[in-house]
Amino acid sequence: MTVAARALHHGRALQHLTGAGKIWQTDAANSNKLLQKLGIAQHCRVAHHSSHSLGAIRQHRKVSCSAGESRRVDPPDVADLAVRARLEVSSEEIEDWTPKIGKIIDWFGQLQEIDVEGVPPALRAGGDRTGNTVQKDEPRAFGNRDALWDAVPSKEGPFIRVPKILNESTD
Amino acid sequence: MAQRPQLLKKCLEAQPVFQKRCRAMATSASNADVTTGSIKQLQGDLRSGARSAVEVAKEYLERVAKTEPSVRSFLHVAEESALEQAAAIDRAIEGGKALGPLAGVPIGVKDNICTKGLPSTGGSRILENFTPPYDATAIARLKAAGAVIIGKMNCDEFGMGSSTENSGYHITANPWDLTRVPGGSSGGSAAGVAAGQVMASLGSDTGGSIRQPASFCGVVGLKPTYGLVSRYGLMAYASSLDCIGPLANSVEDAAIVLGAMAGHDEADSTSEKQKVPDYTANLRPASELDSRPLAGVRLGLISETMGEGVDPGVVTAIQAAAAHYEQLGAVVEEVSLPSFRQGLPAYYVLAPSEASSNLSRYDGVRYGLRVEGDELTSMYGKTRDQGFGAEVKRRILMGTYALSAGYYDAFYKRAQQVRTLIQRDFQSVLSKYDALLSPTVPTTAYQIGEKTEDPLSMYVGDIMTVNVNLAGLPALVVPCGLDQGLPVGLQLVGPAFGEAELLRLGHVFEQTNSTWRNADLPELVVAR
Repeated sequence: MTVAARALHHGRALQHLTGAGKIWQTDAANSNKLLQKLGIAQHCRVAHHSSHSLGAIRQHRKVSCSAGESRRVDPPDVADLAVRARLEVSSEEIEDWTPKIGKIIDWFGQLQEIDVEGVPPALRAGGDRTGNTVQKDEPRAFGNRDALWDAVPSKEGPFIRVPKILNESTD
Repeated sequence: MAQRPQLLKKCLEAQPVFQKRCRAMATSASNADVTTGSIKQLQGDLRSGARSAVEVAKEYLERVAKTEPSVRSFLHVAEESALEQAAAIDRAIEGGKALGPLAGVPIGVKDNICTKGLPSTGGSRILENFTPPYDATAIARLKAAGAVIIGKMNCDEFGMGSSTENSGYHITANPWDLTRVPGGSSGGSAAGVAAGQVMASLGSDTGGSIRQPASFCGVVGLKPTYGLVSRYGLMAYASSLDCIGPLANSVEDAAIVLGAMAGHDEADSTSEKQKVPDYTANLRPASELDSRPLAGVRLGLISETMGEGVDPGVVTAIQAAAAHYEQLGAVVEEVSLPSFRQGLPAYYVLAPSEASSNLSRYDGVRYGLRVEGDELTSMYGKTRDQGFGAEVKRRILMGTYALSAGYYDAFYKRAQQVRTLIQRDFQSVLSKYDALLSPTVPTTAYQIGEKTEDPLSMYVGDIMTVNVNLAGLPALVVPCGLDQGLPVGLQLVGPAFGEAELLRLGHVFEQTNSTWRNADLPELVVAR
């Protein structure tokens, strides 16, 4: 399975299990470009030194790739992420947030030091707690359709009106 | 402080209904007229005819009008519908009908919980004029129990934040010190109870958002087991972590509110089919307790929560609480949760990832704010740029990053694996102890504006609470003392669906704890 397809598959699994909304789905071309832009190979291990106290939570990270060389993680490309998340961000926001987000992502690096060999990912909140909570696949009409329709910002006849959809240019 | 006139202006702008009354009452309101009493006392008064539900509702609405300029807990005060609901209760009493367990009880509802016909914004400008066409299941059940909804409470936008400073509307103040935060994200819900504006409130807890403000505001807060209370109608932040729960003045009141809304719901596919016990059945008044009412109970004090990085005043208060539990007959031992420290980064990978997915529904197409664009994606972009605040946007970006191809294994999947480790640690420890004790927050309430510059410095305050959400377990916060005049909350964590016992442990503590007096709340001065 390609990297992108795996992300899609996991995304759909997540959606099913947690009842979450739409997952933003990247296609293979975009995800390869994302990888290139972020300058990071797929399997990099993060090593760091830490003290095990509550106070010293922020640390610097270096990424060491399996080839043995050490490289600093490039800061996240906020402009690119914003496009994917359908958020317009100003250049001031990009400038202000890139270090803040970068700092938080560096901090995530401490997850890499944990031994998770053979540990299954927790797909449900309750862990091993069993329970048949799957909903029956039976559609029911929502009683208050008029109120739903009233909430629509722009309508034309029976249609919800939205601006025209242009093909996105991939860059 | 210089900020207050602007904040005051924001408050008055936010509540046109009360503008006239607030200005008219430009005199200080003493706490002599603070609304007090428990749910059971109120029910007794209603049944005996000593007070009517409409009188009670009016008392609370008066209290809201007097204190809102200072506290600003509300985003919307529902005066008209509250009085209608109260009048209906009075008619039921007159007609000799049976009353529900919350009949006439004035309740506040966090604004990310849908209330039919009342504005529900989630604390966000993207839902500024949104009125849901349905009640959340929890709300429908509270209404069926007779609750009177006083209004919608301020919160951090979509539950993202720990101080209520991320609300798209205004900042709520901590009733104990109006220059300090009430906590978050259910800051309005906690402040409303602490200030006597409502008798109880609903909040939501994804990483501590009921418990932390309960600790900062000196009220009781309960995060139930994941799946016990339906999430239908709760605006989703992180679907595998979100829980609705009560905040109240006492453990018994919290138990009554929980009982009214807990239980399976067809509309929520993550709602568990557990039998709901009577959560008040084992809550005995202090006079009925023997000298060692908790003999045989084993409690584990989480050692990782009592060391470096926790305010000494908080440590002292929790140690005193542990000693008190020993006096009640419990055995209290220090216990280690090795994975404890790892929960925080795992949470801040998982929650924004789920949020980035959940918040993609706010696109301006079918409801909420729409900012027109010349084509569809620019409409999305502009709508979301204008509608979302900075913290929400940052978390969406972080989540997008963590879920993107190439990073998924390193961040999201790994965080899920760490989540399994945390669940296993809790299971192992809770097989040896009836409940775990810890502080709720490493500090007491900090100053408004103190932590807004550095998001990470705010995240680290969640260290005591997030692991409980990752494990889906219930946790109760009970005020246990003061540190330099500010409340400290004790957190009790129990096994899944162990709310009845957790509430009993909290209730016995509360009934026998002489170091805590709710009446020490400082005077809430009205608009100067």
